[in-house]
Amino acid sequence: MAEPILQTERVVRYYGGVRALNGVDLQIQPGVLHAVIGPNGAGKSTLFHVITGRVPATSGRIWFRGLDITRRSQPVIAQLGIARSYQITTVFPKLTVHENVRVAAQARVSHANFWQPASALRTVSERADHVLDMVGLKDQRRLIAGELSHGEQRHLDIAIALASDPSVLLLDEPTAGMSPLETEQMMYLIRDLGRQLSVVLVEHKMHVVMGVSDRITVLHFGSVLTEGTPEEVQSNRRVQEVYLEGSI
Amino acid sequence: MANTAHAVPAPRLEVDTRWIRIRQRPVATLAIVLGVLILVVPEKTLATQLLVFGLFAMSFNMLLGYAGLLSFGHSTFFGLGAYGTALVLKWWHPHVLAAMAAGLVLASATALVIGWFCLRRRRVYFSMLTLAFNQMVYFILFQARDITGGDDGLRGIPLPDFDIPFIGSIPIEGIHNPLSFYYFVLIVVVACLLAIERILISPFGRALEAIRESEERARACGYNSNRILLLAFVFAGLFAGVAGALYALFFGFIGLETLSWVTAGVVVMMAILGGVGTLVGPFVGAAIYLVLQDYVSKYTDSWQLYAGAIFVVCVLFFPQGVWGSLTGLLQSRWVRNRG
Repeated sequence: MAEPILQTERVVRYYGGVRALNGVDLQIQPGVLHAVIGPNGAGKSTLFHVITGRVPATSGRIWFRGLDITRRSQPVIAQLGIARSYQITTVFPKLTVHENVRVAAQARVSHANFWQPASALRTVSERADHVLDMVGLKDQRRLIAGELSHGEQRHLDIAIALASDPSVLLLDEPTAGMSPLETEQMMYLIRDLGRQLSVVLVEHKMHVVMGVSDRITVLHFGSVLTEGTPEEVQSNRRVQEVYLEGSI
Repeated sequence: MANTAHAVPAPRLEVDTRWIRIRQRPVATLAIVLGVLILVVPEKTLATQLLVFGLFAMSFNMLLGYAGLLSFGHSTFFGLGAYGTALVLKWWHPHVLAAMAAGLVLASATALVIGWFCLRRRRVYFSMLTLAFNQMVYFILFQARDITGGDDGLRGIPLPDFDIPFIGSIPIEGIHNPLSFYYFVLIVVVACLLAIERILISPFGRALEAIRESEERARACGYNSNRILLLAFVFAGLFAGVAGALYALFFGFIGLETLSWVTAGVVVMMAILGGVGTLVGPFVGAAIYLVLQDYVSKYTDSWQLYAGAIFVVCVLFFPQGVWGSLTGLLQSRWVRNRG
């Protein structure tokens, strides 16, 4: 097997006295769409927070392309090429759709350039157009982001993450609050993205997870319960028990 | 796409690109208007004051309108720009521009230090820290009587003629040459406004807006928000320092009120009155405030009562400010309906 592009090693994270992550070992192979599932409170969102440097790990190590990023700050980790989307839509509401993506694409190109008009960065603007085309928001590019429908905002949230051309994309419940039709459209997009880059997907809707994933890791109370292909995970007795508990 | 889920897609507004292009270059327009208008306006002193406070309000707007930071101590940098310039002029009689440079270096260096501390916090805690630092600087200058004159103010600031090598010198002393002084201030202010405009439409300015909209998301995109906000704080301090320097040259006398918390409050009022987040709104706000002060105070001592009432009406009914509402109105005429 190839060298993993992203790897966590016994990652622990406490919130107060609560152990949200209890020594998580995770290996993401390059080019693989890897889902992380588990009942509510299993630590999925915390895992994303820790990987992206939003909150520091209490202990353990995180490696990205052979580089130890455990103690790096959130902006630095983003600069290295790990991007994320948000479970609760997080966009720049008063900016236009295009500007939302353009400013995100600009982040890895230009840090503190204040002598040039932003519009002079042609490649950044083209990147934004390309990404908007990918997520199907091309026609909405001049609208104000806050005025988009919920489904469109979910797509914009992902477009912002894609804008900086990351090598690893973390998707945090991309279909949250979506209608069945919107969910189906999102599935196409996720599958599409999975062919282009390494994707880590946190998702509650099982048909989405089973439909798009190459590998699945099951988290339970902050620990890895099992890992395998969708078929292996589906037939795993302990996974079935955990989800049965959760559904009551 | 996602709209198919809804029964009736709502009509949506799209801004015409022609309007955006007009709106993008307001400073050049403003400069021409101000340059010509002075020839017919009798109150040259008021007009000069308007330029100075217009610049001050626009420097403040970089923080409130673009970075989303509400500073209650922005007068610190206005005052330090004034004192820095005045003291250097008094001690060494250098070229006017050299004295002004000293003032803005003092203002921006202080902004770097104060900003570094204040930006450890956000929202109301940030505001309170800026106020606290403002009080500290105020009392340092109050105590240093030997240098600053304390609460008597700093008197007798000499204003030499403006030397241009190989060409000659132009008298710009404000009381005897109000028009040439006005043009001197206008050139400095327009240069600053063009610089501010440049900064705000740059990649840095766009990043600033992104941070204002969602700091969390901006950080996750790779923006080091603390560093970017600090740079914005220093820029705002620098341009406030230039405004302060012009103020000192204008009056030939400065008091501690230049850096009092009242002045810090006035600039908040000016910016909100005109419209924060728009490029020239705060300039318009400063003009309204000063003209109001000038005219109403001729009839009554309690002019601030009227200013306060207008401010209340403005915030309640025109939260985007006078300029923001006006451009919004104009913009809606340029907007196309999209089904």
